[in-house]
Amino acid sequence: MPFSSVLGASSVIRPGVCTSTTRPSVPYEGQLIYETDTDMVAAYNGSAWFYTHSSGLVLISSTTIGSAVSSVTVSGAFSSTYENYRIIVSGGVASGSVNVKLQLGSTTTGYYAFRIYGQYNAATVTGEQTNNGANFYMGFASTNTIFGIMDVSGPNAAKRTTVFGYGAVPALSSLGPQIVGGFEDSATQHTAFTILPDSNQTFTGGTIRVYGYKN
Amino acid sequence: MTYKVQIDDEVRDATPEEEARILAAQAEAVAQEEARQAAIAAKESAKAKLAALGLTEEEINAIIGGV
Repeated sequence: MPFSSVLGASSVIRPGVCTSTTRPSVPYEGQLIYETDTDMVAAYNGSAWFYTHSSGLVLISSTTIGSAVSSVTVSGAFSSTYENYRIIVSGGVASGSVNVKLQLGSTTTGYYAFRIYGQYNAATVTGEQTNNGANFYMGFASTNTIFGIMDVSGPNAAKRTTVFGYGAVPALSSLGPQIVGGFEDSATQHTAFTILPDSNQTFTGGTIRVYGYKN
Repeated sequence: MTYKVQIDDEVRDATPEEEARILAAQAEAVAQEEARQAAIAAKESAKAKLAALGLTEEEINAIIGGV
């Protein structure tokens, strides 16, 4: 019978559950703990604690897109815990072919970026600038799916936020795969972002996942 | 048209401020799309003029970056 079945989930005795500041004071080699403040599993190697997954992407939030929405805001996405983030929007559908845009917090000006995109039906490459725009290009959506990936650096720091992302049109059009990079010109410490289509279309379904790059 | 916005897991009608933000994004997109179409048209026009001067398609693409 598992120990937890004897003690119960609501028991005040929860072996191995602590915070990063209340770790066992006399640990033994091989001891495992779960830290509720970092959401990390740590092990003791005989001389020090180390996280079993010490670096990599950590899922911060997963938001399911509702029905026929014109924008989706994810709050509490950015904090001082991580410097760098990855946002992935995928699945679902749009009511028509449309660019997927990214806005940081409530900031609607000062976006500078450049995107380069190709076409499926022509061997041409086109560049396009965003010069003090209202948001960033992030990806594309169609009646087939929504897709975009954006790495965001320093959104919660009191300095410019830098981004780099890529996407691909899931439909035949004069747009195809793209890469995009740029920055948002403010010292605003963002905690939220919004995904929105850039024309009179809506999103239905799909998921927005936010990851933090754990060092 | 009533715009619906989603804040985390809550879907509701957009406030006037949120609707203004959506419309601004759409207006910016329209302007960018018009600029994009104008650039495409200018490129096609340039190709036609170069062809009229006697350049082959291969030579034109070598100049303007196409293949």
